[in-house]
Amino acid sequence: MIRLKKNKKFVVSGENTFTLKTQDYNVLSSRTRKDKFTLQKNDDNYMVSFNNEHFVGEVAELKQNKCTVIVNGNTYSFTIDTEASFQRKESLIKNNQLKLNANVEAPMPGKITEILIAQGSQVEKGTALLLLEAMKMQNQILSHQTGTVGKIRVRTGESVMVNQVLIEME
Amino acid sequence: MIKSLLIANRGEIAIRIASTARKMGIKVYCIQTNREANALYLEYADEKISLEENPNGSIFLNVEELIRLTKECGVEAIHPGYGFLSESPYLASRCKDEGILFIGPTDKAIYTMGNKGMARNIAESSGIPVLAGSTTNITNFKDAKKWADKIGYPVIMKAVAGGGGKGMRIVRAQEEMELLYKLVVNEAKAAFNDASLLIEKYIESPKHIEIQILADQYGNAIHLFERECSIQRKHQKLMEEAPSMVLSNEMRTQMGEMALYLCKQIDYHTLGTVEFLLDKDNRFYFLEMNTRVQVEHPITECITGIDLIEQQIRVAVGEKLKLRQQDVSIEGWAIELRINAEDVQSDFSPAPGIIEKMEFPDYNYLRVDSGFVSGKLIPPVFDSMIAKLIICGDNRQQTIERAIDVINKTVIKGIKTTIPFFKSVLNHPDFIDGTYNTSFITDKLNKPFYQEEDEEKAAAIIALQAYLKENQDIESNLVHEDSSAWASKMRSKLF
Repeated sequence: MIRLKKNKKFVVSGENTFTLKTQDYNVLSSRTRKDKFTLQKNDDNYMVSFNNEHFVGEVAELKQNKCTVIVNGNTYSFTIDTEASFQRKESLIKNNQLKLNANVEAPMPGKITEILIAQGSQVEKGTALLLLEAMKMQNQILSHQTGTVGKIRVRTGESVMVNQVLIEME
Repeated sequence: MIKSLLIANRGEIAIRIASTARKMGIKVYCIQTNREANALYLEYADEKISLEENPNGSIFLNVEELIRLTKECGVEAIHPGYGFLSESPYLASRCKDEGILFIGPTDKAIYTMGNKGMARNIAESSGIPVLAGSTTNITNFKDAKKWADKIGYPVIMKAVAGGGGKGMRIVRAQEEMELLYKLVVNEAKAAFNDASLLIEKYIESPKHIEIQILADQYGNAIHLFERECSIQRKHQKLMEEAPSMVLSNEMRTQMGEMALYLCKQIDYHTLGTVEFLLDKDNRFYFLEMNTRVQVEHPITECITGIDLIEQQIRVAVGEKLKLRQQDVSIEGWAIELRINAEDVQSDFSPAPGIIEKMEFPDYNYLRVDSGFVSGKLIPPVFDSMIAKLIICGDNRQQTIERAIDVINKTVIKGIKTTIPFFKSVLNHPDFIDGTYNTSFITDKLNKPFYQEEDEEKAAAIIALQAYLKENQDIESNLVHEDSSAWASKMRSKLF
């Protein structure tokens, strides 16, 4: 449990990384001229205003420290860490001490139409691993890392759910 | 006029056909499948035919089952819509055998124009410019390479039986031939059960212009001008407009007359579309013919004021075409936006789910053709289109402005859609000045969705606030639970 009652700095990381200050469970509206903003909560959404620009956002999902927000129809997924824990994680990743999630998951529900690799195959980042048919389209599922293919947990013709583990990587 | 019609389709097109048919006094039958038993289109049917689990896959692809249902219910006609069996010569021919009226072309016309090689030959003999290409079906790699070398790279390989953007690959250099040949053959075999290909010269960044035609069984035919469909991704249309900014009246007439002449050659007597590619010097070439109603038909209805489905049914039952070419004209402008359940931030990957909320502004110049409403599930087994927004205006500029306004006021929650993509296109200078072509998405958009500066930052601030709020709630709940636990402990001690 993080005690938040005093001032703290958080790192919110998505495509880009944002460092934000908080106090008493609130994001501190910044008053520096460069990125001045205010935050307002309405019924089921939030409004952030920078000078004359207003953004209305809706929280689609919040699970532990992962949060997905929709603004203008675009979806943004973030991981939230305190500044200290973010820096700790960064240095662990740098020193290869933190193993990233090594499983390949289905990005959408669908049907496996072809498996393009076998257990033990050496793959590069970007190698096509399997074909997943969803909504009449063939989607290549690519490897997001260089490594060796471990157990293949699906078969051709099998229907899969979103986020189902398809392939384990070693 | 017929008294009853089975719609062998689902979604918005089933609703579109049902609406016109019912207006004409025809009793409409729709098929309820367990894949989407609560689908909206069923509410537009006079009669629902409910089917149990079908072991042979989709009913919409099962010719014999459709024939059986139609006969069992005593229905006179079948309308196939688009996709599924709409371009199956087999369904058309089985209907003929069984005395069922097929709302569409003859099996022969579907077969001829569905074969890319034969269609190309007929177009050429009708005097329509075609691109340099192979003259025979290619069934092995040696021939493929020979033709590609002869035509000169870049070339495009197309599955002869292909369509809908599937089974096509562009080859830019000889070294790529072998790998790409294998890919196309595999795709063609899997999708169309026919591995034969044709190879054509590939034009870089063409525009896609198509002519809508309408013909009856007595040799009367008119064209209903063009639609421009150059906003495409992987050969799939995302947005269309009518008319096109780049056609002069002279070209429009020339292309229209050629399309009609082509139809005459194959004795075509229903609704159809002849597609052309336009190169950067405005020279046009035959692309293919679609022998069915198209997704984007509403923009033609919008600028001509003609109900194409009504005309399609009327000519199918044998009525004479009442419209003559001089009766039709272009009034105003129309744009169609295809709202798909796709994640534009992740390369347009399909994103099915439940539509929590879907609301469109109420304007007399906005037509919404959709098979869904709030609360409906988008099943992952069908295509990803959830709504077509058709916006009309007096001129192009006004129509674009209206389209932007419509997009800004559209609310869809629960699923990801192509809305951020349209914001980006409608505000783009190349779209506004009409110079866009089929490479627009790859060449002109840094990212295929509209994103304002500071948008991600705003989202990050909201994410953190939501996270803090959750933590605060948990903490206060814990305190609360602690105290109530203490209270109950006290009570148990007392009693």
